[in-house]
Amino acid sequence: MSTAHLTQQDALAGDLAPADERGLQRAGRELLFALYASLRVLKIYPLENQTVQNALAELDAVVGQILAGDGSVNIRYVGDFVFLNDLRMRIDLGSFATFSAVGRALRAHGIGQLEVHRGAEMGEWTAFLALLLAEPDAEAPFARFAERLARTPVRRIVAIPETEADTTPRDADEAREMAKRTYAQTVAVAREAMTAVRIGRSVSVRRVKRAVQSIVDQVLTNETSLVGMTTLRDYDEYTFTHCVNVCIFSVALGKKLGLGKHELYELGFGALMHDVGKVRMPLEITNKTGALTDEERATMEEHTTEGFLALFEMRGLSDLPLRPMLSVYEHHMKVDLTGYPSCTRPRDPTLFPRIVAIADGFDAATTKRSYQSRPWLPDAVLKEMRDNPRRGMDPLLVKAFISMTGIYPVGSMVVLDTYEMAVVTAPNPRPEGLHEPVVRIIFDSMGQPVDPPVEVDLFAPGPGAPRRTIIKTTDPERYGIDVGDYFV
Amino acid sequence: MSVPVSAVAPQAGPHAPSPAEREAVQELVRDLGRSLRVHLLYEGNNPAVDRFVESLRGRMAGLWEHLGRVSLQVEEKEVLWAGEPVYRGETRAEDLAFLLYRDGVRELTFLPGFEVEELAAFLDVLVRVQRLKEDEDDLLTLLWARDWKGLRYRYVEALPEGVALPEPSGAPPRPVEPPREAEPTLVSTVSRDDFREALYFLDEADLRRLDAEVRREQQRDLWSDVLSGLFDRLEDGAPARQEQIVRILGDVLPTLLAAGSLARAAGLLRELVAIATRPGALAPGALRAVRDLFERLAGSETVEELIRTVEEAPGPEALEGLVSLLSFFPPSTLPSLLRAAEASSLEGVRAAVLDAAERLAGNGGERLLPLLAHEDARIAAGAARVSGRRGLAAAAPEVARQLSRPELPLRLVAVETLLALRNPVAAHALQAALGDGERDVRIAAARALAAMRYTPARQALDAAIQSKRLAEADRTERVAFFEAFGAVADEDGVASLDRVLNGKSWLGRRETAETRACAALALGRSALPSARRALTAAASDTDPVVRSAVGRALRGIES
Repeated sequence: MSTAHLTQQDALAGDLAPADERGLQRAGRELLFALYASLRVLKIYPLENQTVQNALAELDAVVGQILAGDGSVNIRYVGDFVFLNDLRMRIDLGSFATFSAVGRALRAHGIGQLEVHRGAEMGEWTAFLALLLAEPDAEAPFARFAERLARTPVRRIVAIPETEADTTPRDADEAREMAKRTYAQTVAVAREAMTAVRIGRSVSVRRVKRAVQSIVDQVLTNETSLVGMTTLRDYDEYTFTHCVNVCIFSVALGKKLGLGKHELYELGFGALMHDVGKVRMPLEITNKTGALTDEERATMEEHTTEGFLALFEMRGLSDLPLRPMLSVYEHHMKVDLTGYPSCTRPRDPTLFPRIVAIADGFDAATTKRSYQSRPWLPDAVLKEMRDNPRRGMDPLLVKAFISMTGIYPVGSMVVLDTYEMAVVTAPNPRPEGLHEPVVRIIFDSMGQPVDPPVEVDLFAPGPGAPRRTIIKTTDPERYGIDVGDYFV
Repeated sequence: MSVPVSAVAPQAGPHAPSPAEREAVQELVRDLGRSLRVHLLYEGNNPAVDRFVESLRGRMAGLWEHLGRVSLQVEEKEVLWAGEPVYRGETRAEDLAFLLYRDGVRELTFLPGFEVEELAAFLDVLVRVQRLKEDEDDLLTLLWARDWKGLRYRYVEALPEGVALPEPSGAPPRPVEPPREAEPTLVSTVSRDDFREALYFLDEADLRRLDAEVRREQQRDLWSDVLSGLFDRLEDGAPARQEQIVRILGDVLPTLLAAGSLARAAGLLRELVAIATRPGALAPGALRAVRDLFERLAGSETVEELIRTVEEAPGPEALEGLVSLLSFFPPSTLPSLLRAAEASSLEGVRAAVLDAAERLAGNGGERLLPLLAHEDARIAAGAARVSGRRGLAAAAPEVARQLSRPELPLRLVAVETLLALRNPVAAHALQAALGDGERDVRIAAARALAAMRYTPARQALDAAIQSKRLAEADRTERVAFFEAFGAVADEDGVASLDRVLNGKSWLGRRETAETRACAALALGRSALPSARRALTAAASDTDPVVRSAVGRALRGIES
């Protein structure tokens, strides 16, 4: 663990918080990094090894420091959130992998909370962490863990089972089912809202709110399955599915940037509504298959303003959704303020519209539309967004977006060095494996369908399994593949 | 169809519940229902509400000694615990079970600690949801908005009618040409190296910038940018859009005012006026909409609401905002402003509103004069006050007539105004007011005459101070009349007062100490040397009341 790195991160994370909260944020971060480091070195080295001893000593010191200041240590995982003594830890790009690795280690044994009491000794940590590294029981992980723990001298480190409040789906099927429902519901709500705007009826804000809240919930607890839904084609009209996809990508990127639940909601609201103004554009332009004339383009560019104004007409909101309105209005403004709409008065667009712009650009380019019969391949879109300044996207956010999706975003069809063909189903959660996603092999090296498809983690294929690498991406349509099928 | 999203696995308790535990949970839920009823009946901060919440807290705290959590299943008409009903609603309107069920909640789990910080908030949510309109939030959106630590809930989400879930296309993949044969070259031209930097090099500078961006987003002045957008588009929009934007601005205005953002509301109006007055900037329809907006602004309710906003959150900023806003009010708002000024209890607010009214009164006060006779006494009073501030001599006859109106506050303002006008008509009216039926008006009139040193009133005042009525009046009134007389007294008057102060009979002092003190104070108002002599003679009077009054009067003369 790099202390210097932590110090800088903590300074960043803590600037907005009161001093005691900043202190706890810093300490919590150190604690989780120390826990992670201890688990990692214990996995590799024997107990007597100095590296292990150093890691445990650091862990012991951090715990002691928190106990001295706060009187207690309680680490709790709720969905993707981590709480230390009820303070939600800020997860950012420099910590999310570590935080989630610790969470995975605990959850594997059905542990939702960890309490450390005064007087916990290094020996207790050793025994506890060794148990965490042991293979969890498949049937009753927590009961078995508790039973094993009771046989050790560990008395001041208490494991508490995951509460039923954990919204993480129990298995892949449930995750997929939940994602499907959320997706279907949100598309329906987007359709309803946009239709209402088109015919000048009032929009049911409650339903829009619920839909966005569900997207946020799902991104927080079931991101992979939900992002998989963005690969669906022909589920509904492009206008509606595109809005939902942009909402999903925006919230997922916001989550990676460490935004809180309410910020994600505002970001998601703006993203879901970002193209609401398009429904007021003439159909002959929106459905035109050829290139737009200058006049038609100018008309089409009015959609941001139309959408912005449409949000003023939403009834049932206790407050006007100002932040979402700005996302709708500014999502085609480039970082240098070119793009549209034009600005006469001083304006400095901020993060949310720029996030929506990236999500919008990515989804639009990878989707077949009236004027784009051949969509771009996802990796090519990422490269274009990053390398072509004329796109006007925030390079740093594009970088963060790529860091989230990996080179091969979910839904990419790839050719492996074995000449098998596969669909990317999830980015690798380990930062060092972002170019080696989880894939589902659908054709063997002879071009024969693999039924059922085999899921492989390209970064960690498992004992005895051959290591495969991606050599290129390819166009699924060329092989008659609807990648969405692999997510529903 | 329904789907659990924020799921709590349905479960009974960790063990078979004892009858005592069942009873305790039953009482807890019943109390929750009662608390909700009381909350609905009384607004928050009511002792009855506090009592119920406290009792509920105690009950919950007691439960944690036996149970690790309380999970309640919600059905349409009842709440179950461990499979048995523990609550049945009496009336649907106040039925806890139905309230939860209606919005989709199917299970509630309370965890230890819930009662400490979250119970009150939970009750507030339940109350709030009862008062929402159809299109507004529901229980689920409100519950979602808070990060509950001690509350878990499971709910169902109805899919809109006719919505099909995404399903696989159904066509199994067919064998294909292996890629090495079909594609000698890569379809994609990107490689891992193209992305190396993006994947692994979010360095500390990047993270710092991202963090700063998050902070900038959080601190963004949203209103400012939203309004800038509206004005940018107002300037370059087609006529129909211009009208739409002006309408939106008209809707936004009360939102800003309600939020106490008076300066921002003033800024909005300023910008709107600037655009509207630029030749050709707005189409005729939009200009009409602007005029409509300002007419709505002129409504008496708007002015009252505005004043209320400032009064509820007074401060220099609010006052400054008010002043800016008032500068946009048209002349038609004059009566509303005058009434508001009279109604306001804050001096700063009143001054700001009167300033605005004065500006709107017209150069010669022509808009003001008709309002002096307004049937609304507060408008008439406001008109009088502004007439006084502007020294509108022409207003004196109508203000004098106000003295014969029944409303006491109006008559008092009229006296004040007449003093400010200081002309013969005013003075004459003030003299007449000495005989007003209300003590406060009489006192004000006497003081006004004293301030004006209106000698023609000497005789009337002399008569008044010798009258039986004044002898029986309270001290304040007597002092006011004596001082008024002293202020206008000639040598004869001073001699008369001297006699009251210093005169003796064979039985001692002829007048009571109080009357003598009044005479002393009256002499203090006289500019004549004889008055000082009379006071000096009484400087060592044995009566402390008289001595004190003499001292005060002498100090007044010296200063």
